[in-house]
Amino acid sequence: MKKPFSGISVPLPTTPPVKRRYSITQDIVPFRRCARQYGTFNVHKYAPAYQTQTYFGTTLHQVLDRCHSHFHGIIDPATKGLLPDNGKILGDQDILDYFDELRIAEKLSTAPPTPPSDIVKYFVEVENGLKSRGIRAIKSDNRLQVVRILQYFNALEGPVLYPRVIDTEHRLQADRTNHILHGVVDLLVDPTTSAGVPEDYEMWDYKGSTRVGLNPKDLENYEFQMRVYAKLYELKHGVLPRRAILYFLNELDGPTCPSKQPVNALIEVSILPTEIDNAVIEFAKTVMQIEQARVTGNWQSAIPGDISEKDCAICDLRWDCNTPNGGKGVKLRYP
Amino acid sequence: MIDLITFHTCLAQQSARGYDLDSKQKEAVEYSGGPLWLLAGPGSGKSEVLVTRTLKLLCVNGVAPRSIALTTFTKPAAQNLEDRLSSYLSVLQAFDSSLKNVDLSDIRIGTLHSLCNDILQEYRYPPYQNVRLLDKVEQDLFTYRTADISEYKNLDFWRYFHHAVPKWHQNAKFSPSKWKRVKAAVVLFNHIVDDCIDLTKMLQAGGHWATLVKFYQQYIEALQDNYRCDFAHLQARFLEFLTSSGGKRFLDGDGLNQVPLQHVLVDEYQDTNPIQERIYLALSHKQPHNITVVGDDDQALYRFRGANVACMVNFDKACQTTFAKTPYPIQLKRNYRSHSRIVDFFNNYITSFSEMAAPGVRAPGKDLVEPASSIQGNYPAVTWLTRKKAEDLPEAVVQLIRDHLVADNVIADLSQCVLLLRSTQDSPGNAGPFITAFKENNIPIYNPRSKSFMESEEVQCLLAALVEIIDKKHSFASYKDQKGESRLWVKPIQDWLNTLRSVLNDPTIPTALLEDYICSSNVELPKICAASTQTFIGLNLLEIIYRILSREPFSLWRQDPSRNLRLSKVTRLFEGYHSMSLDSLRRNKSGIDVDPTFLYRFYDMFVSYLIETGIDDDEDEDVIVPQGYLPIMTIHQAKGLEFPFVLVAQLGDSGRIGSAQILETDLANFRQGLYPRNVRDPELLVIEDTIRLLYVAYSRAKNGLILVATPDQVNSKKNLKRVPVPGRDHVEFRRNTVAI
Repeated sequence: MKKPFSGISVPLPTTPPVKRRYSITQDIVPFRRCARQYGTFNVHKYAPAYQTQTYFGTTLHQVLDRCHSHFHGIIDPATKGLLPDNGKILGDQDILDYFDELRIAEKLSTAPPTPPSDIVKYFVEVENGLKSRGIRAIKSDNRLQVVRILQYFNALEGPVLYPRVIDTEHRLQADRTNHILHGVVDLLVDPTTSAGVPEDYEMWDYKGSTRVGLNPKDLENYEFQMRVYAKLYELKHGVLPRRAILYFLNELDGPTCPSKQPVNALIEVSILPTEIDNAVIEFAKTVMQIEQARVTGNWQSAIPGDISEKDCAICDLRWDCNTPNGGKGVKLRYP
Repeated sequence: MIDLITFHTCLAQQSARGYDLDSKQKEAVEYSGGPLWLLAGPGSGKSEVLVTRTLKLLCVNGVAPRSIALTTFTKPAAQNLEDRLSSYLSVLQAFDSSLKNVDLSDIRIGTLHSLCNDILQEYRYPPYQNVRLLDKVEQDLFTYRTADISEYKNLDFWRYFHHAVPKWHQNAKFSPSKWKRVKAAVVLFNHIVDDCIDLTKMLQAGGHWATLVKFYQQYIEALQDNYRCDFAHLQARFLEFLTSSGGKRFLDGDGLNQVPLQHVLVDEYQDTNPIQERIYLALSHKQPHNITVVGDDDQALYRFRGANVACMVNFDKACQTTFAKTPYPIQLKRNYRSHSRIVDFFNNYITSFSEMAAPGVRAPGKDLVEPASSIQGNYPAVTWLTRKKAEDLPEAVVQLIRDHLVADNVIADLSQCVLLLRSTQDSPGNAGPFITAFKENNIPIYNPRSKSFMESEEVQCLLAALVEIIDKKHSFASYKDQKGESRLWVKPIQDWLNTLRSVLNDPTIPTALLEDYICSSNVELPKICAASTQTFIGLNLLEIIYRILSREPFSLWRQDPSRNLRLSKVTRLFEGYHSMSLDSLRRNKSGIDVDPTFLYRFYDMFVSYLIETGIDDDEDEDVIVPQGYLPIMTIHQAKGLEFPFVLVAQLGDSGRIGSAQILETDLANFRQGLYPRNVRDPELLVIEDTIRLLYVAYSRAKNGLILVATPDQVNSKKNLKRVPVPGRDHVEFRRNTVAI
């Protein structure tokens, strides 16, 4: 055979031509929580049977974002300075009744009934949007719980917090040697209520879970996340934020609205420079691991104990996984 | 802000792009006089120009990020633009701290569909509130359930629109099956929207056209009544929105916090359709109409998806009609990708056909592409790998790769080559002989489309295992149609079950856990039904799918990239069914088994859908070729990619006339065109499309382009639709091309 390309040698390109963007909450934290889950659902795009985790956190975040917009008159200038529902709280039964009416209207393909409150209205809008992405509540109890928590937060924290919010969904990003890292801080809050400067601001991040009973590894991941945010904040604004706050929304849940902030709802994450530096190193390490897994196709499941049993209990991959149950795995259900 | 010279210098640094743009590219980046018509040949760095132009607006002109919309054709392409923007911006920010607050996340960037959806949500446009956006599978399922046309069996009607019906002949004696009617209806309905059809005119045409309009109107009502929207109507809603008060606020700003939209940049404009053309023009209504369109009409491949290359070719006319302004044309003709001989070859190729010289086929006044790559050397960069018989070609390809490219260290890894085919399916008339030859010679291949989706072993086994579990009595086999014959799904399901059986009987494949799961499920399911106090037993089909996937051999198959891709697709298909709230298992009235109505609907709706319509491969998938594998791809998959060595086979094949070509002509009278457009015969459109397809294939090669064909396959004498070589001149090709 003739050899037309003799003498030519084409080397393999050594580096990818473009740096990949990595999100802290969508890439880094899920990969650190469980690389197998991340590889399956984020990289290989398997569709989860249920997306309860996503449902809970996303609904809370998006409705609260609308609450802030409501207060600042962004949706409708007429609501500027007003708390959604004026902080009023609907009883569980009223909410459930509305859900029933809504369900019947959907079934009959008639126009949806008028929502009984601003929060319920925002909740339904958000939920419909999520449905179009295949994200829905696993049980109707979850829906009620979300609305309840939102109402409590609105009534309890809204009056003081909303006026102090400088920005919501505050985007941050920075270039690293091999990748771009980016993140979205839920709230930038000016606790002084004056026209502050970036060094006065606090970064707040909502968590759709309880603080009590949280897996230490998850807490570690949340702290890591806030420290990386702090670094990004510093790169953007030239100074560190005054405080980094995690707000565990589910600590508000209960039959009645708490009269004061539950002691476990809010924790301040330490953002000392050495801690931030370590978090940034960790971030880079995780990116390298993700890149490696993309090449080898080897997505390891979490080490037992490093991920909460709750997360494993709703994971579609649990049936052949050695992580849940302290490493014993779970018994297969039939069918 | 920084000055223009510093801007270019910064981006030319190794840490950013690593090279400076050429003068034409810079001209395209810097142009500021309104509409810009950027005709960009293959390998000319068009995306690079688009990214740099965007950054120039941000960092040199100080345009607010929210004033910029940047769109492209697929999600991975949008992601790629975003990655590049981030990467380069960080270099600029490191150089000049005044750019620190430039926030890329405020740019409206994505596919047009994603932008339409986001903006309509953001502005809470009333007709789009509380609406569920249907994806392709969901649109099919929705049409099946709610559109009257799906029940319409008039044979004459379907014969008239036979081109839209998949795998059905117009001489058939019976009307197409319900699923085929649905698929055809979706094609027609989408075209009505995409092509900006005047319904009144269509109605006035009477006959089958009027019938189609009535069905279409019923479908729209069904969408509205059920709070649904498909992708085509998402565009229509968005166009309406732009004329609403919210739309005006979006376009012109509110004079306070909201900035106006000032710059629209569109990548891959050759794959735009008429309604998108209108959207883009409406977005850039503000003086001086800063719309930049980038693309290459010679690389338009997506007519079958409703795209129309006429939008790119006639951009000047569209601007004249809409803005009374002529766009500034710039042609990026320097090719930085390919060896000069490859460039010469594809230049000669695209300009050698009379069909391509007809008015309105190519953008006017285009020059030839100029070679500018650093790849040099006096070797036959375009070669012809030929054998007398077609069956000997696969072995010849193996020899070339194994004994020359690999053995002589021409390439360092198999992933530096690609075999491009029209169809990569593992069947005798397609990629089959090549796949066999590679396997016999231990050349690992990456070919996620080697099987048609429904024929692949893993998909059949997964579905068969599910059937064994939810329908252990095989009730599927008992259903008959009106003529007393078995329903269409019976035979395919039996085939799946046979595939599963042969896997279970294969001693080399570990299946004990799967067998145990099926057996135990058959014991447990009746108990669960009996124990359930409600009709729904709290289990959906996707949950069972994941349990099956956890058993061998599926857990092993998932380690294979191609099988993994297909299995993941099965889960997404079930998600579509799930979105219709139809997949939650129900018990029967006696409470001892699965509800037969549930099973019937599953077979009649979902399984029939899979069987009858054929599941398309994802066109938008992000192609990641693993190292160590030789990729086998369709030409469509390879669009936007480049490889050191490209082998193109199946050159003797010619294109077939499809719905897209026929509708291009048939809908001409009903189109609300912005400008007069030449109507081309479907036969000619097929030839044009084939030429563009091969032009894309040939222009992927960097170092070597290898045409794989017998002498007969490059000879077009017997079939003018065959266009493998320039000008259909096989004699000249033979004279000028080194044969191996």
